[in-house]
Amino acid sequence: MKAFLSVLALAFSAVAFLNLAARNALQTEEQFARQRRAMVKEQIAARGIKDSATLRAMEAVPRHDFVPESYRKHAYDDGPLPIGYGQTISQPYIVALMTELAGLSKGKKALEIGTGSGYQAAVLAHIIDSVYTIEIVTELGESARERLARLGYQKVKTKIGDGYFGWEEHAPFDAIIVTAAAEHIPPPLIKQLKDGGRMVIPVGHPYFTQNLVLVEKKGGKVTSRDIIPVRFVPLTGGPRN
Amino acid sequence: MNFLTLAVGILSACILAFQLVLMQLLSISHWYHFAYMVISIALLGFGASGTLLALTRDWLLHRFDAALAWCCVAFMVSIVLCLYLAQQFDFIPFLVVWQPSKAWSMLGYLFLLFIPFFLGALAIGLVFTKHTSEISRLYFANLLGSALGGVGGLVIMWWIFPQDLPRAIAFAGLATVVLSLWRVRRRLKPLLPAVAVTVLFHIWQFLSPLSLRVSEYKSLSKTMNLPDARIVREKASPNGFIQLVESNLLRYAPGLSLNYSRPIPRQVGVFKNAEWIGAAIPPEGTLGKRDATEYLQYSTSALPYHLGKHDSICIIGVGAGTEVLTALASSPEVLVGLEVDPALLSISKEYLERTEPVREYSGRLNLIAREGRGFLTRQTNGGQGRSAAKFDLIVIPLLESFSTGATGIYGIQENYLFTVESFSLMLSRLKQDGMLAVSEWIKVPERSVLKLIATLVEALQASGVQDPSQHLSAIRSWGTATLLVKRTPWNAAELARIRQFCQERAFDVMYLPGIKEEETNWFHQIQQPRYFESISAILSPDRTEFISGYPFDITASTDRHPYFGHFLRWKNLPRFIQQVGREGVPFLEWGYVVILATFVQVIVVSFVLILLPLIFLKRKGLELTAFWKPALYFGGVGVGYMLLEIVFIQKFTLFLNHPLYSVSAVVTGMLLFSGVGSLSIRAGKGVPLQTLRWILIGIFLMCILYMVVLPAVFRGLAHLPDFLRYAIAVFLLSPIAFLMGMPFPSALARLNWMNAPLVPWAWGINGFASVVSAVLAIIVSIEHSFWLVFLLAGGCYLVALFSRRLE
Repeated sequence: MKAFLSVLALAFSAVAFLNLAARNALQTEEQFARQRRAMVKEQIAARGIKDSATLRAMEAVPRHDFVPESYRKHAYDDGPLPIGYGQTISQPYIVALMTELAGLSKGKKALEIGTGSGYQAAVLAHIIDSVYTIEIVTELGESARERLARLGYQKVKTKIGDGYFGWEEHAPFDAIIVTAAAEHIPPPLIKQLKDGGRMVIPVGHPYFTQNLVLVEKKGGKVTSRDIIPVRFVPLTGGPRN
Repeated sequence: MNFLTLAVGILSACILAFQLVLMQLLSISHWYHFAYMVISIALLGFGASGTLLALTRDWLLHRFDAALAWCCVAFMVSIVLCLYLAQQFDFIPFLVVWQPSKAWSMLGYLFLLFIPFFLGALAIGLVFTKHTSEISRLYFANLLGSALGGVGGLVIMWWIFPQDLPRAIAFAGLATVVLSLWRVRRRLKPLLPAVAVTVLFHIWQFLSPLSLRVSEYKSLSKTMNLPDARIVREKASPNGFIQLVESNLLRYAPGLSLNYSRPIPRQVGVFKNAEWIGAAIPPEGTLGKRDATEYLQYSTSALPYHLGKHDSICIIGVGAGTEVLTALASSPEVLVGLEVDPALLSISKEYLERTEPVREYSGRLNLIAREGRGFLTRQTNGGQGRSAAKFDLIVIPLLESFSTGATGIYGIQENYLFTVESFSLMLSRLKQDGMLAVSEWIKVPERSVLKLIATLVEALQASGVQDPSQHLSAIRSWGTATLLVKRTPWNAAELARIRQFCQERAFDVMYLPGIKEEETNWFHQIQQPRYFESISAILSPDRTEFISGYPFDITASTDRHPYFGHFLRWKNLPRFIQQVGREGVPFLEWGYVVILATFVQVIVVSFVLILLPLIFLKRKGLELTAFWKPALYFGGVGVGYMLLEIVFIQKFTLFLNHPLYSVSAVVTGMLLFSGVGSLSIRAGKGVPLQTLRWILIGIFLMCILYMVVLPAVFRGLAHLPDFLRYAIAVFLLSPIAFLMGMPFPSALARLNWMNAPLVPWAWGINGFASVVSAVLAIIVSIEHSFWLVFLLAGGCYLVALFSRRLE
């Protein structure tokens, strides 16, 4: 009898604990969702991102699932976070800006160079069906693949390898997003860009994106332009008087 | 007593050598600008040791022998142990911007590095406090030891790999342990645990040597993440630790044209202090492939080689050697390549000589380990008497790596190559129709290229060119810009070739004589095409007005203010922060930010640690009024000494053509002659007050004299050979250093005679003053000029003069 009561009490406690844990998890998920909505409103829309597909995608992707456990509470902060191997998950605004610049809509195909945690690929997957992503660091690539599959992003095709040569069998792409700063723009990537396609490359340190280079291919002609994520116009225009 | 003098000398040598080694290690594991933090940490160690001595003077002096022995043991152990522990910290300095709470881990990291300096200084301070009557001899040993440590620290960097350097210093520190124990050998029993710790420590070191953990954000760490990356060679030198990495995935082609579609040959990554400096091409990269280096012709820096044949070319900064390969494509008759770092040059040379283009080159390739400006000043045509050697083309390739260029961490470093005087010298070393080419990373918003143009325009005017607008041309890709200036105006054929070069490679013309705005901003469009407008303004008579109104400091860099990488303008900072807020963080100059943060930190910490003993000493019956005069005196002497030391290092860099030689000459010269100065004063009460007054006045007057005379001396003697200039530098410093060695020990001896409990406090306050002034000197130099630093230093000695009444 004593033993039976003990087992009963134990089972009861376990159920109560699991229930509490589930409720806590739910509450935390709700909190994260609230933070995510605030992030989109205050950090992204307020800075001039207008593309509704981008805003919806940023609101949908659980960023806290893409950062290391120790940084989860900072997942929706207005800044980049370390993910190991000298890589970061970019500031939410920069991810949104790069997504908007890629100019994607349903039916288009995108390639990402530098999967990292998989966050940018997940954001793209909310806008288009064909997302291809390549990561050169095996450990990062494998954990991103597992994470994307776990979170239901099965349509993201991942590959571990040298992103310099793109992904020829799936080329050409409507958009290529390079998430690591480069001192030159790889010629094979330009080749794999569709006519009318766009490529976005950040410039600067992983923690301090100073500039985005947008490469466009039109009628065989390749041009590029600077997208500075900060409005310097009044600053540079003001003091001359 | 001799044992103690020797111990003080060795301890001082170890502390200074450790300071240099730590600067090197932090440059490798993190970034160069942390080196300035090391100076502050070291001096803070001295200051804090003074505080502890002031608080526990009687207790420590009562147990002098044991305290000294344990300090020596702890110092030796902490050199390696604290570094080992510091490396376990998750120290990501950049994250502090986004998560201020991370500042605690940074403080913890710095605190660990502070411990060895604190312990070493505590041992020295203990000896000073116990044997104040012998202060002149001890102070001499302290300064002489530091001087030898300064030289020794640099020398061992040639022979020992960075990760083994702390072990080497700890081994030298063993001598101090032996000395401190030997003098009490008959009463050794209570100190046997110290012996045991020493033995165990060296066994631990032998069994598990320290390995250097490089930040995962440095380019070497990122490259080593590549699946097939491996370090194939390492070379140590005080100029930096060079590592070569092989990987089939390495491709370095800065600012490569978007029109280039062919492959890039196999490369070997060359890293200095774990940061990219370029790519060497191994022989198999070019063997049998005549067009293997074709990609080099698709960067903006290839422009000068497409503007006709240049018989003689001089490249200032060979780096990994790709610029040499770019230049060889134009088949010059003479190609001189200069590289300031001999270790780097020897590696580049080795690779270059095995590549096919160099083996096929029938001209004269002369690779020399020299600083560019020094070479051009002294180089003459052998067979034509003393006439200067002249070139058809002088090239300054891209400096800095891509990532460091972007974060502006070199904004605090003097750069005597990119000054009006330096460019004027280069223009004077060009043949009649010769040209000077300078390449630079493009920074957004526009600043570095505009500053370069402003400097070049002033150099052209200083060289007698009436209308610089006819002598300048500038092009850019999406990432790099190349500027060309000629002694004669550009002709139509040359301008057509520049346009064609840009058209073929999808590069944009920034400026050409007679260009119209619609010709610019075609291939790589910038949001506001301001280059044309800004360059035109710089070339117009309203240049001064435009530059002074520009939001960033793009004033021409000169020898008086050689901070080419510094762009921050204080008056614009509040508006900058107000308008762009946190989003503007990426555009700050990180080197300068770290310096300012260091300055604020040291002031706060110094203030707290100086006040602390004041409160405790007051309880011991000493009145606060007794403090302020010695505080002013020792503070003034401390600030003055350090200001002068730093400004001499900055100034002599130009004369000796290398910061390392300058540090070595100034630190050694000043410490050595100050040591002689301290030795010359009589034991007991120091120099008579009247003499001390004249010494302080003498130092002030000499500050003014050096400020006025040094530039002329440097100009007049610049042509002399290296060793002679080094000897002259040390000689020039001797009179002032001799005098500067007297005020501190003299007043300390006097203080001991009149108010002994204040001695450790004086030692501490002198240390704290040095902490603040080391950083202050750099800030004043950047914000104003070297002149003001000289004046401030002189002023500090006057302050000491007026507070001299120690009675």
